[in-house]
Amino acid sequence: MIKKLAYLSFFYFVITQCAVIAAERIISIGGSITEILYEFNLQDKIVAVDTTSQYPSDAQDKPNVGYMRTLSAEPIIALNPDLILYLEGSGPAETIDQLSQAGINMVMIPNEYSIEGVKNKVGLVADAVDMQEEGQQLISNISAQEKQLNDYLSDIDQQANVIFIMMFDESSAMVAGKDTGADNMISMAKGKNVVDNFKSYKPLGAESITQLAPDYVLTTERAVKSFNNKAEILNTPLLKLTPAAENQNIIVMDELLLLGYSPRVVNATNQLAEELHSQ
Amino acid sequence: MVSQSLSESLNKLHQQRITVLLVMSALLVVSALMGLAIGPLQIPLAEVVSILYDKLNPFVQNQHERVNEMVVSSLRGPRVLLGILTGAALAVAGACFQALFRNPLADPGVIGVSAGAATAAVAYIVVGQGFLISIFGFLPKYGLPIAAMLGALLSVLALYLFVNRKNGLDVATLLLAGIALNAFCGSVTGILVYLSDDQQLRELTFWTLGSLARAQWESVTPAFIWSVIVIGILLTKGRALNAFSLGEANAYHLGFNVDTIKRILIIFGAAAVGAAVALTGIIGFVGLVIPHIVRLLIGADNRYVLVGSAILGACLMLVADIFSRMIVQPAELPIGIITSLIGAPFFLYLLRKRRQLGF
Repeated sequence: MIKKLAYLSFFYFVITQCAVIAAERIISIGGSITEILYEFNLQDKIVAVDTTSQYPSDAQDKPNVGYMRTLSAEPIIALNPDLILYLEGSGPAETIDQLSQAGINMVMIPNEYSIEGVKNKVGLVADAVDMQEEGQQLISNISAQEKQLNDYLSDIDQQANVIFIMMFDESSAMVAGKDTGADNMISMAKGKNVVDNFKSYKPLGAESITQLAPDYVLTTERAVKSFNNKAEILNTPLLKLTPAAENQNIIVMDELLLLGYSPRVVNATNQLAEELHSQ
Repeated sequence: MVSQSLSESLNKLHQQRITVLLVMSALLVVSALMGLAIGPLQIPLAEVVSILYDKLNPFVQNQHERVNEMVVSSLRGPRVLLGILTGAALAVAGACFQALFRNPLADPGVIGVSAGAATAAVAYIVVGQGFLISIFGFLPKYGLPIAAMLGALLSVLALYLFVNRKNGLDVATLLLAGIALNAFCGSVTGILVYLSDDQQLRELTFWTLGSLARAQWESVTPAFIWSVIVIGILLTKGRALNAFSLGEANAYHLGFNVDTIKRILIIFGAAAVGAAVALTGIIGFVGLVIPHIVRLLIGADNRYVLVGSAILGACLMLVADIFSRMIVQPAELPIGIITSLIGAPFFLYLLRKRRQLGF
């Protein structure tokens, strides 16, 4: 009898637990969240992603709900998700409200620009999809990589002067100021962002960039798609007169790797640090 | 004998026009129903109708699937109402501006009134809110739409003062002034974007290309009441607009108080555009396309043109919104792209045909 009861209560426990956790149709809003879900091998449960979910490239084949800041409620509801994981800053707020009103389990994941922030993200995503063990594993992987990175960086004392350019045309460049993902990435790699007098991204002209005299130009693959080679980029009037152009110091990285603050964050930092301190 | 047959044929014309307006109204009801029934989430028409019936009838409480009910009543419902509101407001404002400037190409978007409203809305978000908080310690409830309406008003006034008898009332002058005004508003918005922080920047992206996606009852309901009043007042000015089309002096001699009517057209036209822009951002060409189609259907008598524009403007917006929801789902295409896609070629067509059409 008692054995029977024990079985019953065990089954009851299992069933209720399943009812709480089994997210079978997940929508992932934010490239780093999608990456984490792929790390957990949950790709088959992702029913849609947003435009920032570019990695791994398989994710680009998923139905796309548009840009994370201009979401619309009904098409998302129509996909019948039971869990939406969305990065802080997704919106508009009206849409987020409407989605929670529709009874969908919504989990906001903060986007903090640090390795600690990435571990936090992994933990929260793991909790939401009930894969705590895999989450712990991934976090400890990141920590191990982080330790190696710190060992490597501890030998470096000089700071490289870097400017990060998000995109540019002939006359101006969108440049990262303080409180941006790029700014934090540069300091994590023991570089120094030459822009320290404004926050977020602002367009700068050729004269301002020349005056800032960056030793390194850091930019994204997307921004330089129209150029044939690095020399061509550095030869534009915007960059021509900088020390970076003189020494041919340009670093081109994948945007999502550099700014996504995903599980690849330590890789990204490592890659950037090696470029900055190779000489 | 002659006068009798004239009054007979006038009567017949009146009846024809009423028939056309009734057909348009039926079309509006159909498009509103379509707006409620069509969307990325497939809900059977019968269920949509039954949900509507229950919402309108407090004595019946049928059980509906929660999600379906929520989508119909709190997503599509306010959206349809917002579509009707903005479509009618923009089309009626377009018809009024066309009469006021005696210019058949005057569209709130083309001549820069919508841009003025949007720029004021952006200015309110970036600098106005902080300023008001520092002075009053709180934000007035309808600050944003009021700012948008003031922006629209300033734009119409500036245009009106510029395009007067001295500078010429020809079609081109107003359009060129509109280009200048649009460019000016664009650069002011540019400055404001430069000043804005990340959070504000996200808010601003919304105003560049219009969308009905943010519709919610709490913002749409007051705007709807306001628009009904504003559009209602404009609709009563058809006779005055007819007199206006003969020239101000003639209107005066026909016994109209020209200055008062001009003021009403400017203020309420701007109020209609401002209210629409505050909720949807800039949606172009509705005020151009619709009055012209209505004139083709029922002639140039403004008493009918205004009413017809309100109805058909609402129809166009509802249909365009259905496309905006369905084309690229699960994402959404801003509705401003669709109206411009229809409107811009139509604008060129009018420009090309203008000699035949007589302007």
